[in-house]
Amino acid sequence: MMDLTWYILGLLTTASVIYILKLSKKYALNWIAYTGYGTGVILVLFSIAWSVGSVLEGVPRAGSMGMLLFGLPGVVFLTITLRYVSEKLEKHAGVFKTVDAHLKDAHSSIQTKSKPKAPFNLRESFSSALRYGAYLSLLIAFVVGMNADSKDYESMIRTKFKDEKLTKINDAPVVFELGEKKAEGGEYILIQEGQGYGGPFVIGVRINDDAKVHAIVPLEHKETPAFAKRVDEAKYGSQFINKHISDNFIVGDDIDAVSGATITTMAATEAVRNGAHLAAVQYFKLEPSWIKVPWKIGISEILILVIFILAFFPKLINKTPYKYIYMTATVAIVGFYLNASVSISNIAAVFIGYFPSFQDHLIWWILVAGSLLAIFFTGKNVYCNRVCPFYAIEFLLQKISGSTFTPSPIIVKRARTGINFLLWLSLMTIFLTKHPALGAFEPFAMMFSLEGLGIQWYILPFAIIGSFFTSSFWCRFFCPVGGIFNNLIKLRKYILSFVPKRVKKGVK
Amino acid sequence: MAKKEKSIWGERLTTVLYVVMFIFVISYLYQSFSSYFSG
Repeated sequence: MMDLTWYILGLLTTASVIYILKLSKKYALNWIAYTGYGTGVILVLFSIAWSVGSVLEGVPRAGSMGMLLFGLPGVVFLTITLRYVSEKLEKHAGVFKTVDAHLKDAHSSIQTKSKPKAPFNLRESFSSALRYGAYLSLLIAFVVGMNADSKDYESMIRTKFKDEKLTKINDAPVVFELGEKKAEGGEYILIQEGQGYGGPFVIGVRINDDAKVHAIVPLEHKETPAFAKRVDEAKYGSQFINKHISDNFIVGDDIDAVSGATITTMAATEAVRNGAHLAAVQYFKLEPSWIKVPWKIGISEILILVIFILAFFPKLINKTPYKYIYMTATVAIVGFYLNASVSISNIAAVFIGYFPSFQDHLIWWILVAGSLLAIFFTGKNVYCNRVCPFYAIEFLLQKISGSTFTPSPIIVKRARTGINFLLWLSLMTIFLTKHPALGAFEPFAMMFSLEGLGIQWYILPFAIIGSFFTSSFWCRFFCPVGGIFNNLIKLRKYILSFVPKRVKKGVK
Repeated sequence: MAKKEKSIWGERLTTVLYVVMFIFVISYLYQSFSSYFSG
């Protein structure tokens, strides 16, 4: 973990150097500005290193004090310095400029007739402070979340098997032996993890002396609640009971999927399979007789791939007859059939490091990794307004209602800020809990499975009613997926702005 | 004149929907966050 912290500190140091260089182009900085900025940055970075180190050593109180004693003065130093810089320019613009700078300005104004520099704007500075504060808080939440204690599975297992003697015989993966130790065979509980659509599943697999699965104990899941609920209600776990540990444990082979939650089923099956096969080899000394998990390339994967590839050809899919065919396909296949809409939880899970396996979850890789890679390579968002089935639903609702109420200009103007605020809240929740599904407030999974929890039941009808009266009500004002994709596109543009044009064009 | 009134009501309706949705989304995130740490 400390390695990751040093890596992040390195990134922050580079970013702060880039920022001061940019600032030095805008303002004529003096020694006070450089000293204040440098002191502030060093204090903030030191406080981060101190706090993370303290948490890792098991003294979070020291970490908190470090934040207060070093982090807070650092932030104060930075704020005062930046304020000093901006106010100094406003009052003494040009006073500290060198002769060279004056000549350069005069030359460029003659040549390019560029616009005059904007004066100091308090509102702009405030919004910048908010933006950087949001980035910093997300970074802190990420570090805190990654360091948070994981759930105590041992005590969970002990409460489930109170009357039996449990001996922990392995740490990674966690394995308990039930009863007395035996040279071969024995009774075991293996704790295993599988990657679902929203995050990992943790399951305890009880294997008895007869080398058969006797109990499936769900310990923790970070799956989208609607999917998890569906799996739970289908009593999916019961099909594993009395299966031999050398069986294949493959969805579609000897395990049945739960309709509408296929990916979740595969994640849970993966956990059980790993546990059973580990026990077979290590504790029952059996030769592997099960088949390897085949690549899951079926009709679903092919259909998703076709839909995704077509999204790269907007001219084709926006023509009138094809548009409706394409939209119907996205609603039917991505929506109702597979319920695989991309959610903020999928994207945040990538940041946390939850990657499902390629063989089992090709659909995830096509939609989530494909959309992110499309942004990375082409700078285009191919998912929103194309592959997203909820956009198609909104579009069709608009066609049915025929009404196009224009929202208040204030709301339209602040739409992006509103989405970014909700996105920030969602990511803070995800990073602090390390539970991607908890921050996913979109009604997609619920819409296509009709399973929801608590207030989610109110979000869906209002999103639909809103879309009935206003075009793309959800996409324009609330969708965090669109929000994060747009921010990633902006980030890409920003990074590319540092690449010299000659390099961009490939001229050496 | 009638057209103008209609647009004002449309604007009000969408504003109400926006505000209500915003409250629901924040409540949902609060509910998720608090439920994780309380249980």
